Amino acid sequence: MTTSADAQRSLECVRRFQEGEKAAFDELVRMHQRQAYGFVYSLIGNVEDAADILQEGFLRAYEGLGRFRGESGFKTWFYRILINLTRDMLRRRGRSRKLFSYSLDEEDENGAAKSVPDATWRPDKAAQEHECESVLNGALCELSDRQREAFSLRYFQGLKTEEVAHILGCGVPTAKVHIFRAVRHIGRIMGPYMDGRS
Amino acid sequence: MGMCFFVKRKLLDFAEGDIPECQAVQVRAHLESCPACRGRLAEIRRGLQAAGLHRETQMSEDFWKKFDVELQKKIFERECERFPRTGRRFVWVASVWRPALIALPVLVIMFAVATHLRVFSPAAREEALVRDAAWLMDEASDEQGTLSSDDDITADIEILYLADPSAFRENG
Repeated sequence: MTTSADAQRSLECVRRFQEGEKAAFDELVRMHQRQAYGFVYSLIGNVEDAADILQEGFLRAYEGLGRFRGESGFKTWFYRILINLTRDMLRRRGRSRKLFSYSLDEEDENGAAKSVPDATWRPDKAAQEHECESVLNGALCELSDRQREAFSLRYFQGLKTEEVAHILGCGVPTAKVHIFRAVRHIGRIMGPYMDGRS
Repeated sequence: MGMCFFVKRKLLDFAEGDIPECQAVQVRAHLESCPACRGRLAEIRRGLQAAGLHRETQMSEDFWKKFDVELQKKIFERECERFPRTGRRFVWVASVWRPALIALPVLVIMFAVATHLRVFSPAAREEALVRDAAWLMDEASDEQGTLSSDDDITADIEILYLADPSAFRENG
Protein backbone atom coordinates (compact mmCIF):
# COMPACT_ATOMS: atom_id res chain seq x y z
CA MET A 1 0.00 0.00 0.00
CA THR A 2 1.14 3.50 -0.71
CA THR A 3 1.12 5.96 2.11
CA SER A 4 1.13 9.68 1.52
CA ALA A 5 4.72 9.70 2.82
CA ASP A 6 5.71 7.24 0.07
CA ALA A 7 3.88 9.36 -2.49
CA GLN A 8 5.73 12.46 -1.28
CA ARG A 9 9.04 10.62 -1.42
CA SER A 10 8.29 9.50 -4.96
CA LEU A 11 7.47 13.04 -6.05
CA GLU A 12 10.67 14.26 -4.39
CA CYS A 13 12.66 11.67 -6.37
CA VAL A 14 10.90 12.76 -9.57
CA ARG A 15 11.80 16.40 -8.87
CA ARG A 16 15.45 15.47 -8.26
CA PHE A 17 15.52 13.42 -11.45
CA GLN A 18 14.07 16.31 -13.42
CA GLU A 19 16.82 18.53 -12.01
CA GLY A 20 19.40 16.14 -13.46
CA GLU A 21 20.13 13.74 -10.60
CA LYS A 22 20.03 10.40 -12.41
CA ALA A 23 20.49 8.43 -9.18
CA ALA A 24 17.02 9.55 -8.06
CA PHE A 25 15.56 7.25 -10.70
CA ASP A 26 17.29 4.24 -9.14
CA GLU A 27 15.64 5.17 -5.87
CA LEU A 28 12.25 5.29 -7.59
CA VAL A 29 12.88 1.85 -9.09
CA ARG A 30 13.79 0.40 -5.69
CA MET A 31 10.71 1.96 -4.11
CA HIS A 32 8.20 0.65 -6.62
CA GLN A 33 9.62 -2.42 -8.33
CA ARG A 34 8.34 -5.12 -5.98
CA GLN A 35 4.79 -3.85 -5.64
CA ALA A 36 4.57 -3.03 -9.35
CA TYR A 37 5.83 -6.49 -10.18
CA GLY A 38 3.07 -8.01 -8.04
CA PHE A 39 0.53 -5.87 -9.84
CA VAL A 40 1.70 -6.82 -13.34
CA TYR A 41 1.93 -10.44 -12.32
CA SER A 42 -1.66 -10.37 -11.09
CA LEU A 43 -2.71 -9.16 -14.54
CA ILE A 44 -0.61 -11.41 -16.72
CA GLY A 45 0.15 -14.43 -14.56
CA ASN A 46 3.58 -15.15 -15.98
CA VAL A 47 6.91 -14.50 -14.26
CA GLU A 48 8.98 -13.67 -17.35
CA ASP A 49 6.30 -11.57 -19.03
CA ALA A 50 5.74 -9.63 -15.82
CA ALA A 51 9.49 -8.90 -15.56
CA ASP A 52 9.63 -7.82 -19.23
CA ILE A 53 6.66 -5.50 -18.83
CA LEU A 54 8.06 -4.02 -15.65
CA GLN A 55 11.42 -3.32 -17.32
CA GLU A 56 9.78 -1.71 -20.31
CA GLY A 57 7.58 0.27 -17.93
CA PHE A 58 10.60 1.64 -16.08
CA LEU A 59 12.28 2.48 -19.39
CA ARG A 60 9.20 4.42 -20.51
CA ALA A 61 9.10 6.14 -17.15
CA TYR A 62 12.79 7.07 -17.51
CA GLU A 63 12.14 8.59 -20.90
CA GLY A 64 8.88 10.28 -19.97
CA LEU A 65 9.68 11.50 -16.48
CA GLY A 66 10.97 14.79 -17.85
CA ARG A 67 7.44 15.56 -19.01
CA PHE A 68 5.77 14.40 -15.79
CA ARG A 69 4.11 17.43 -14.22
CA GLY A 70 2.94 15.89 -10.97
CA GLU A 71 -0.78 16.36 -11.62
CA SER A 72 -1.28 12.82 -10.35
CA GLY A 73 0.91 10.70 -8.10
CA PHE A 74 3.93 8.96 -9.57
CA LYS A 75 2.41 5.56 -8.77
CA THR A 76 -0.83 6.39 -10.60
CA TRP A 77 1.13 7.64 -13.59
CA PHE A 78 3.48 4.66 -13.60
CA TYR A 79 0.70 2.10 -13.19
CA ARG A 80 -1.06 3.59 -16.17
CA ILE A 81 2.06 2.91 -18.23
CA LEU A 82 2.13 -0.66 -16.93
CA ILE A 83 -1.55 -1.19 -17.70
CA ASN A 84 -1.05 0.00 -21.28
CA LEU A 85 1.97 -2.26 -21.75
CA THR A 86 0.08 -5.21 -20.32
CA ARG A 87 -2.88 -4.58 -22.61
CA ASP A 88 -0.49 -4.38 -25.59
CA MET A 89 1.14 -7.65 -24.67
CA LEU A 90 -2.18 -9.43 -24.14
CA ARG A 91 -3.43 -8.08 -27.46
CA ARG A 92 -0.29 -9.30 -29.24
CA ARG A 93 -0.47 -12.71 -27.67
CA GLY A 94 -4.17 -13.09 -28.32
CA ARG A 95 -6.85 -14.38 -26.05
CA SER A 96 -5.64 -17.96 -26.24
CA ARG A 97 -2.86 -17.45 -23.71
CA LYS A 98 -3.13 -19.14 -20.40
CA LEU A 99 -2.83 -16.93 -17.36
CA PHE A 100 -1.23 -18.25 -14.18
CA SER A 101 0.15 -21.21 -16.05
CA TYR A 102 2.95 -22.13 -13.65
CA SER A 103 2.72 -24.17 -10.50
CA LEU A 104 4.33 -23.31 -7.17
CA ASP A 105 7.03 -25.96 -7.80
CA GLU A 106 8.27 -23.94 -10.77
CA GLU A 107 8.59 -20.77 -8.74
CA ASP A 108 12.12 -21.47 -7.60
CA GLU A 109 13.40 -22.14 -11.10
CA ASN A 110 11.90 -18.85 -12.20
CA GLY A 111 13.51 -16.95 -9.38
CA ALA A 112 10.68 -16.72 -6.87
CA ALA A 113 11.74 -16.99 -3.28
CA LYS A 114 11.28 -20.32 -1.59
CA SER A 115 9.04 -20.07 1.42
CA VAL A 116 10.82 -21.70 4.31
CA PRO A 117 8.44 -23.68 6.52
CA ASP A 118 8.56 -22.64 10.15
CA ALA A 119 7.55 -24.59 13.25
CA THR A 120 3.87 -23.73 12.76
CA TRP A 121 3.85 -24.91 9.18
CA ARG A 122 1.23 -27.57 8.49
CA PRO A 123 1.20 -29.41 5.17
CA ASP A 124 -2.59 -29.80 5.09
CA LYS A 125 -3.11 -26.08 5.74
CA ALA A 126 -0.47 -25.13 3.18
CA ALA A 127 -2.09 -27.40 0.61
CA GLN A 128 -5.46 -25.83 1.33
CA GLU A 129 -4.06 -22.32 0.96
CA HIS A 130 -2.32 -23.33 -2.23
CA GLU A 131 -5.61 -24.68 -3.55
CA CYS A 132 -7.45 -21.48 -2.55
CA GLU A 133 -4.84 -19.38 -4.28
CA SER A 134 -5.06 -21.48 -7.42
CA VAL A 135 -8.82 -21.11 -7.45
CA LEU A 136 -8.47 -17.37 -6.90
CA ASN A 137 -6.05 -17.15 -9.82
CA GLY A 138 -8.47 -19.18 -11.91
CA ALA A 139 -11.29 -16.80 -10.98
CA LEU A 140 -9.10 -13.82 -11.90
CA CYS A 141 -8.50 -15.39 -15.33
CA GLU A 142 -12.21 -15.55 -15.96
CA LEU A 143 -12.64 -11.82 -15.43
CA SER A 144 -12.51 -9.39 -18.31
CA ASP A 145 -9.25 -7.42 -18.59
CA ARG A 146 -10.86 -4.26 -17.19
CA GLN A 147 -12.44 -6.10 -14.28
CA ARG A 148 -9.15 -7.82 -13.42
CA GLU A 149 -7.26 -4.53 -13.60
CA ALA A 150 -9.82 -2.78 -11.42
CA PHE A 151 -9.93 -5.60 -8.89
CA SER A 152 -6.15 -5.87 -8.65
CA LEU A 153 -5.66 -2.13 -8.27
CA ARG A 154 -8.39 -1.81 -5.66
CA TYR A 155 -7.68 -4.83 -3.46
CA PHE A 156 -4.14 -6.02 -4.19
CA GLN A 157 -2.63 -2.54 -4.51
CA GLY A 158 -4.98 -0.86 -2.06
CA LEU A 159 -5.79 2.13 -4.25
CA LYS A 160 -8.91 4.25 -3.87
CA THR A 161 -11.69 3.93 -6.43
CA GLU A 162 -10.89 7.43 -7.75
CA GLU A 163 -7.26 6.40 -8.37
CA VAL A 164 -8.41 3.17 -10.02
CA ALA A 165 -10.65 5.20 -12.32
CA HIS A 166 -7.77 7.54 -13.17
CA ILE A 167 -5.42 4.67 -13.99
CA LEU A 168 -8.02 2.86 -16.08
CA GLY A 169 -8.89 6.09 -17.87
CA CYS A 170 -12.58 5.90 -17.05
CA GLY A 171 -15.06 7.59 -14.73
CA VAL A 172 -15.51 6.65 -11.08
CA PRO A 173 -18.95 5.05 -11.64
CA THR A 174 -17.54 2.85 -14.41
CA ALA A 175 -14.63 1.81 -12.21
CA LYS A 176 -17.10 0.97 -9.43
CA VAL A 177 -19.10 -1.23 -11.79
CA HIS A 178 -15.92 -3.10 -12.85
CA ILE A 179 -14.94 -3.62 -9.22
CA PHE A 180 -18.44 -4.70 -8.21
CA ARG A 181 -18.71 -7.28 -10.98
CA ALA A 182 -15.21 -8.61 -10.31
CA VAL A 183 -15.82 -8.97 -6.58
CA ARG A 184 -19.15 -10.68 -7.14
CA HIS A 185 -17.72 -13.10 -9.68
CA ILE A 186 -14.80 -14.02 -7.44
CA GLY A 187 -17.15 -14.41 -4.49
CA ARG A 188 -19.29 -16.77 -6.54
CA ILE A 189 -16.30 -18.90 -7.60
CA MET A 190 -14.60 -18.82 -4.21
CA GLY A 191 -17.82 -19.46 -2.27
CA PRO A 192 -17.22 -23.07 -1.23
CA TYR A 193 -13.64 -22.34 -0.15
CA MET A 194 -14.56 -19.24 1.81
CA ASP A 195 -17.48 -20.95 3.59
CA GLY A 196 -15.10 -23.71 4.67
CA ARG A 197 -12.60 -21.16 6.04
CA SER A 198 -15.11 -19.06 7.93
CA MET B 1 -37.69 -3.98 -7.66
CA GLY B 2 -36.75 -0.30 -7.69
CA MET B 3 -35.27 -0.67 -4.24
CA CYS B 4 -33.22 -3.68 -5.41
CA PHE B 5 -31.69 -1.50 -8.13
CA PHE B 6 -30.75 1.15 -5.56
CA VAL B 7 -29.40 -1.38 -3.02
CA LYS B 8 -27.42 -3.30 -5.64
CA ARG B 9 -25.43 -0.16 -6.42
CA LYS B 10 -24.70 0.36 -2.74
CA LEU B 11 -23.89 -3.23 -1.73
CA LEU B 12 -20.14 -3.04 -2.28
CA ASP B 13 -19.83 0.20 -0.28
CA PHE B 14 -22.10 -1.34 2.36
CA ALA B 15 -19.93 -4.45 2.60
CA GLU B 16 -16.82 -2.31 2.92
CA GLY B 17 -18.47 -0.06 5.51
CA ASP B 18 -17.99 2.94 3.26
CA ILE B 19 -21.56 4.26 3.18
CA PRO B 20 -23.39 7.06 5.05
CA GLU B 21 -25.48 5.81 7.99
CA CYS B 22 -28.78 7.02 6.50
CA GLN B 23 -28.19 4.88 3.40
CA ALA B 24 -26.95 1.94 5.47
CA VAL B 25 -30.27 1.93 7.35
CA GLN B 26 -32.17 1.75 4.05
CA VAL B 27 -29.96 -1.08 2.79
CA ARG B 28 -30.34 -3.05 6.01
CA ALA B 29 -34.10 -2.67 5.90
CA HIS B 30 -34.22 -3.87 2.32
CA LEU B 31 -31.91 -6.83 2.97
CA GLU B 32 -34.27 -8.15 5.63
CA SER B 33 -37.02 -8.51 3.08
CA CYS B 34 -35.04 -9.41 -0.08
CA PRO B 35 -33.31 -12.81 -0.32
CA ALA B 36 -31.83 -11.97 -3.77
CA CYS B 37 -29.95 -8.96 -2.39
CA ARG B 38 -28.88 -10.97 0.65
CA GLY B 39 -27.40 -13.54 -1.76
CA ARG B 40 -25.58 -10.77 -3.64
CA LEU B 41 -24.19 -9.38 -0.41
CA ALA B 42 -22.95 -12.83 0.61
CA GLU B 43 -21.14 -13.19 -2.73
CA ILE B 44 -19.56 -9.78 -2.33
CA ARG B 45 -18.39 -10.59 1.20
CA ARG B 46 -16.85 -13.85 -0.02
CA GLY B 47 -15.18 -11.97 -2.87
CA LEU B 48 -13.67 -9.45 -0.48
CA GLN B 49 -12.53 -12.23 1.82
CA ALA B 50 -10.93 -14.01 -1.15
CA ALA B 51 -9.08 -10.83 -2.11
CA GLY B 52 -7.47 -10.96 1.32
CA LEU B 53 -6.04 -14.39 0.48
CA HIS B 54 -3.88 -12.92 -2.23
CA ARG B 55 -0.20 -13.08 -1.41
CA GLU B 56 2.22 -10.68 -3.00
CA THR B 57 4.53 -12.57 -5.34
CA GLN B 58 7.87 -12.63 -3.57
CA MET B 59 10.88 -12.86 -5.82
CA SER B 60 14.39 -13.65 -4.64
CA GLU B 61 17.11 -11.04 -4.12
CA ASP B 62 19.05 -12.60 -7.02
CA PHE B 63 16.08 -11.99 -9.26
CA TRP B 64 16.03 -8.29 -8.31
CA LYS B 65 19.80 -7.91 -8.71
CA LYS B 66 19.56 -9.39 -12.19
CA PHE B 67 16.56 -7.20 -12.88
CA ASP B 68 18.45 -4.03 -11.86
CA VAL B 69 21.48 -4.93 -13.98
CA GLU B 70 19.27 -5.62 -17.01
CA LEU B 71 17.39 -2.37 -16.49
CA GLN B 72 20.60 -0.31 -16.25
CA LYS B 73 21.86 -1.99 -19.43
CA LYS B 74 18.63 -1.18 -21.27
CA ILE B 75 18.65 2.42 -20.04
CA PHE B 76 22.22 2.78 -21.31
CA GLU B 77 21.24 1.32 -24.70
CA ARG B 78 18.30 3.73 -24.96
CA GLU B 79 20.59 6.63 -24.09
CA CYS B 80 22.99 5.52 -26.84
CA GLU B 81 20.10 5.44 -29.30
CA ARG B 82 19.07 8.94 -28.32
CA PHE B 83 22.64 10.30 -28.41
CA PRO B 84 24.68 8.60 -31.17
CA ARG B 85 28.33 7.78 -30.45
CA THR B 86 29.86 10.95 -31.90
CA GLY B 87 27.27 13.09 -30.28
CA ARG B 88 27.93 11.45 -26.93
CA ARG B 89 31.65 12.04 -27.25
CA PHE B 90 31.06 15.67 -28.11
CA VAL B 91 28.74 16.08 -25.15
CA TRP B 92 31.34 14.49 -22.88
CA VAL B 93 34.18 16.68 -24.22
CA ALA B 94 32.06 19.76 -24.04
CA SER B 95 31.14 19.12 -20.44
CA VAL B 96 34.69 18.41 -19.27
CA TRP B 97 36.71 20.78 -21.42
CA ARG B 98 34.07 23.44 -21.91
CA PRO B 99 36.10 26.28 -20.24
CA ALA B 100 39.16 25.41 -22.34
CA LEU B 101 37.09 25.21 -25.52
CA ILE B 102 35.66 28.64 -24.85
CA ALA B 103 39.00 30.18 -23.77
CA LEU B 104 41.03 28.90 -26.73
CA PRO B 105 39.41 31.00 -29.51
CA VAL B 106 39.38 34.02 -27.20
CA LEU B 107 43.13 33.65 -26.61
CA VAL B 108 43.78 33.25 -30.35
CA ILE B 109 41.82 36.42 -31.11
CA MET B 110 43.63 38.34 -28.37
CA PHE B 111 47.03 37.17 -29.66
CA ALA B 112 46.12 38.20 -33.20
CA VAL B 113 45.02 41.66 -32.06
CA ALA B 114 48.18 42.11 -29.99
CA THR B 115 50.41 41.07 -32.88
CA HIS B 116 48.58 43.40 -35.23
CA LEU B 117 49.01 46.33 -32.84
CA ARG B 118 52.68 45.55 -32.33
CA VAL B 119 53.46 45.35 -36.05
CA PHE B 120 51.37 48.25 -37.26
CA SER B 121 51.63 50.72 -34.37
CA PRO B 122 53.31 54.16 -35.18
CA ALA B 123 56.21 53.45 -32.81
CA ALA B 124 56.85 50.07 -34.44
CA ARG B 125 56.73 51.58 -37.90
CA GLU B 126 59.23 54.29 -36.88
CA GLU B 127 61.55 51.72 -35.38
CA ALA B 128 61.39 49.72 -38.60
CA LEU B 129 62.24 52.85 -40.64
CA VAL B 130 65.32 53.58 -38.52
CA ARG B 131 66.40 49.94 -38.83
CA ASP B 132 65.97 50.06 -42.59
CA ALA B 133 67.92 53.34 -42.83
CA ALA B 134 70.79 51.90 -40.81
CA TRP B 135 70.85 48.84 -43.00
CA LEU B 136 70.88 50.96 -46.19
CA MET B 137 73.73 53.04 -44.84
CA ASP B 138 75.61 49.91 -43.96
CA GLU B 139 75.09 48.53 -47.45
CA ALA B 140 76.22 51.78 -49.05
CA SER B 141 79.38 51.89 -46.92
CA ASP B 142 80.15 48.31 -47.81
CA GLU B 143 79.90 49.14 -51.51
CA GLN B 144 82.31 52.09 -51.09
CA GLY B 145 84.63 49.93 -48.97
CA THR B 146 85.36 52.84 -46.63
CA LEU B 147 83.64 51.42 -43.56
CA SER B 148 84.22 47.92 -42.39
CA SER B 149 83.30 47.81 -38.74
CA ASP B 150 80.66 49.02 -36.25
CA ASP B 151 83.16 51.38 -34.69
CA ASP B 152 83.73 53.06 -38.03
CA ILE B 153 79.95 53.50 -38.55
CA THR B 154 79.52 55.02 -35.12
CA ALA B 155 82.41 57.39 -35.73
CA ASP B 156 80.96 58.39 -39.06
CA ILE B 157 77.54 59.10 -37.50
CA GLU B 158 79.15 61.19 -34.82
CA ILE B 159 80.92 63.27 -37.47
CA LEU B 160 77.64 63.73 -39.37
CA TYR B 161 75.89 64.77 -36.15
CA LEU B 162 78.52 67.31 -35.27
CA ALA B 163 78.30 68.72 -38.77
CA ASP B 164 74.50 69.09 -38.84
CA PRO B 165 72.54 68.16 -35.61
CA SER B 166 69.24 69.54 -37.00
CA ALA B 167 69.10 66.79 -39.66
CA PHE B 168 69.17 64.17 -36.92
CA ARG B 169 66.45 65.92 -34.93
CA GLU B 170 64.15 66.01 -37.97
CA ASN B 171 64.65 62.30 -38.68
CA GLY B 172 64.28 61.31 -35.02
